[in-house]
Amino acid sequence: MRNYILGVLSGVAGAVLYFSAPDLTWYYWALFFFSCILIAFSFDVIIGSLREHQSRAAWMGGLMFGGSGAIVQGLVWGLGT
Amino acid sequence: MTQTEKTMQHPLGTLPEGFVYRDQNKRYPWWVKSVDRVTTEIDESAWDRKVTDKIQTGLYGDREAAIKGAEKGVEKLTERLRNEVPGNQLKDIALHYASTTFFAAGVSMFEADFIMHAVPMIKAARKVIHPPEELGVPRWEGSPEEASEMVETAAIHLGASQVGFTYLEPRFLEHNVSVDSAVEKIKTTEEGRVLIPEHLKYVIMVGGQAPQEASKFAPSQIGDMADRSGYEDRQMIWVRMMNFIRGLGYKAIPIPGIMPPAIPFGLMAGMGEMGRMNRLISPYYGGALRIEGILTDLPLALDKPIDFGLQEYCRHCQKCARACPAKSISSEKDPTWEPQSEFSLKGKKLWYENIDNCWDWTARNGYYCVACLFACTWTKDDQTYLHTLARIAAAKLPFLGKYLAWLDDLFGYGPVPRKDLGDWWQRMKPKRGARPRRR
Repeated sequence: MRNYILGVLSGVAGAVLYFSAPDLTWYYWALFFFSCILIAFSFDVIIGSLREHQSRAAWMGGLMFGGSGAIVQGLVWGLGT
Repeated sequence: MTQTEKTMQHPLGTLPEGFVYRDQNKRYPWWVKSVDRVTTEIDESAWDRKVTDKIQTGLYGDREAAIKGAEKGVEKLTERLRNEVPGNQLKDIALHYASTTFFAAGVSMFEADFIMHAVPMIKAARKVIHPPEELGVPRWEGSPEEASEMVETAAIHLGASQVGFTYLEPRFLEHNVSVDSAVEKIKTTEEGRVLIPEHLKYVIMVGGQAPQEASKFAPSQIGDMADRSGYEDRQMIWVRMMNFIRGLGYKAIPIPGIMPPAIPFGLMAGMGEMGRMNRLISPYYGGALRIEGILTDLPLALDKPIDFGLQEYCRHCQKCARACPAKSISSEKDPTWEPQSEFSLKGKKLWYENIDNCWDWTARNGYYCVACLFACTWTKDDQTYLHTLARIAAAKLPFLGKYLAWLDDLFGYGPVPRKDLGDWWQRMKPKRGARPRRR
């Protein structure tokens, strides 16, 4: 279910990006997909680590993978559109 | 180097005639390699198999001294109990002993007598099974490959976390145990020599899993409970599996000996590699796998040893050595041929531990520490793909062990802080505390 929701959200974000900037160059799309993977992975780390009672791993993973994913998303949306 | 020299250096790399390997491709993910020889270097000429007698003498020989040592541990245990030290309260101790109900049945932990009385349990359990001759049908027949697949499926169903198959290598046996073609049944001679019939040449290795959540609380009563629960789990699977094999119409017995050699057979069966802490480390469960062997005459297709980069990784990581409160685990970068204790078996290139320090710590504290096994960066729960990524990095880039251990610390893995030892009871736990690995 978690993966399904993350997939739908990534698809929605991709559709919004496409309609906002139809002429976006390929490397922005590559960065977009990469950042989606980073954000999805950060969710996996946060949820999995909390299930393991590893709260430090949860926020560290969220910060490391989710944070870098958010920065790359910011670059795509800020510079590409 | 000639082939003969190679064989002498690695005597375990040669599969005797009459055995076959099963397909190893589906056994492990791509980052675990199947190899022809165990990854620990061995010099058979230096082996002194009488070491198990020394262990026996060390633990039980001077019974008075052993009891005195254990009394110290009991004193410390009751002192902690009176002072309500977190992780050492009555409920922790009660759970610790309850978790080892079958493994240690008939033995008081306060009697300094740690030999586990498994034999009466195995004999009693045997009555459950009705072999085919009692049912009036022939015994099960099939190819070795089919037999291995069936036995693995049964073992997983009966609780095993990992399964492996190898052959009975007589060189691993204790000095007073040997294979004898003249006997039909296992026999003990008047001199106390144990003779194993030649047809019991297949070894089934089964592994039980110590619960991850409790294991983070080592060293403490709860941490030791995790360790004992792993042994208990293993014991139950082991006895159930012997019954399963007998139910098929074949013989199944434990590997005989004072301290039956499980690790060498586990290495041969590809259950893991030998780690810095001198224990078998599984690529899935790290130090949390408890293994035991069964001898059988059911023809099986065997497994190969594995290599997931641990020999190089352990050189750099050293997290177990840092976690050891007894300073028992070697911090040397490279393994050596020189044991640190007279109780260690020579002839292996290892990071030999100082087992005397470890036992002394156990006696003084009243429980097994096991911090090394659970501090190991390979001993992880399996709820996030972060661990899969870390395992792949460790296996494929083992020279980064130091940095991966640093990341492991940064993410807060390893033993829980001492002040939080009482938290275990409030944590949500899976059944028996162990989550199976996602397959």
